[in-house]
Amino acid sequence: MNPMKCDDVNRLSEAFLDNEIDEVTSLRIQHHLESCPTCRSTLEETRLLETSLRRIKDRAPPAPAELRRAITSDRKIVQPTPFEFRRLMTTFAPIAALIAFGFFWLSHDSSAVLASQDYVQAHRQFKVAGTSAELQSNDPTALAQWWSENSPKAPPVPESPPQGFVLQGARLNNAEGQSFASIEYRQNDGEDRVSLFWTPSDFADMDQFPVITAENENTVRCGPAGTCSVASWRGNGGVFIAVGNFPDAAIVDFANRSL
Amino acid sequence: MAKSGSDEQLAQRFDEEIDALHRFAWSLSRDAETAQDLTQETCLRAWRSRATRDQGRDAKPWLYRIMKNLWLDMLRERQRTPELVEFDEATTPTSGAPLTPPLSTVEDRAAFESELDDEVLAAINDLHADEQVVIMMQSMTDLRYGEIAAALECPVGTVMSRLHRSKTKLRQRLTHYARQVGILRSDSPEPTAPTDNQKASS
Repeated sequence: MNPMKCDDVNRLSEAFLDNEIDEVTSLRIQHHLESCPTCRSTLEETRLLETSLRRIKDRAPPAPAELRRAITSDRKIVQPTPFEFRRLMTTFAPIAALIAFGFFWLSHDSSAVLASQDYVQAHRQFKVAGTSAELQSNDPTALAQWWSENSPKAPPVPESPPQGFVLQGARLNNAEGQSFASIEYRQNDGEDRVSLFWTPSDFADMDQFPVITAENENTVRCGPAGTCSVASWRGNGGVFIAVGNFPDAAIVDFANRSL
Repeated sequence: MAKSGSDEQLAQRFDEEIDALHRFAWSLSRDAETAQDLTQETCLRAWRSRATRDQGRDAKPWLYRIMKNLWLDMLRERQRTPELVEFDEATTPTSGAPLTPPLSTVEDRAAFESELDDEVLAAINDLHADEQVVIMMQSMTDLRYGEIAAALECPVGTVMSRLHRSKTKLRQRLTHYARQVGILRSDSPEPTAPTDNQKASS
């Protein structure tokens, strides 16, 4: 058996600890370690690191129950996308697509009646894929100006945010061939966020949501959809849809404060 | 419509891997919401493109490849648009946290280990994105080197060399930290930095 050099042992130390090398090489490393305190010390340091990484793994949370439910739900409603169409969708940058096809928004197609799941899915895809144009501003006038330049029919920007929320900015997102415009808020004293959409057309599953509360002649309906909560209410001649990453009660609170 | 046998197998794979996928996503993003989004989007994309998947290959590395690509796309997008608002700031460990006192005065080993782990996480933050991916893919999941190679679409030897290079950097950082907190003597040897042309193979 040829003796192994320190460089080789050092190079293979991670694979050695992970049991990812063949038996002969493993024996040669063990043989070397018996007579080399420097490599033993290095291996101990590597082992310390591996132990720490295992603890970090133990700290990492498993998938929450609501995420499992959402993924199961996705499987029931999502059909396979043809390859070429999928490739086209991922190749086109959202802004280029908007320029090429003109600004297409829900309001341009009154027949586009979407369900809460569409908004939640879009909300998630924008964040993951980053396929969005965003403007950071807490100035409603600046946001309104941005909307007028980029999307002729966008959610109206209130002069002041709902009590307890901070205006973060606006997003123009593109997903699945649809463009979605939203106003972004964040809780004053928390990390929870909410995206406020608006559509002049009807909202497919609005009537399926239970009525949580009704104020000012508006009906707020709320229902969980995936990992987010959704509230919807009629206003501005259409329907507002709020998608948040917080519990139903909080999204209803947001809705009530927005009325 | 009845699900085909392969659909059922894929659905079962989701169920088997979801915890590990979520841990991997969390380890990359350190943010609960982003981890959930990444996991759900990974499964969604996998489900959508299941018809074009190579049925002869295990779906497991494929799922991690999708998640890895999603994550790197997300990072690239964030780098490309620095002037835009980041609505979803990741909660990262504080690398500038005060150092712990020397080990001899630390009675709570768990607290020390927690600080050590935070130091490791902070060190991982400083790695290149590709290095973070390979470290987390190996550490947070049960993937073997061969499966990681399939997920990263590279030879096993490349996985080994990337892991070695990344972990040596982490080890250097940990050794430095250990000296600061007094569990290593200042005259103990520095870990050897790997050179770029080092290739691991057995």
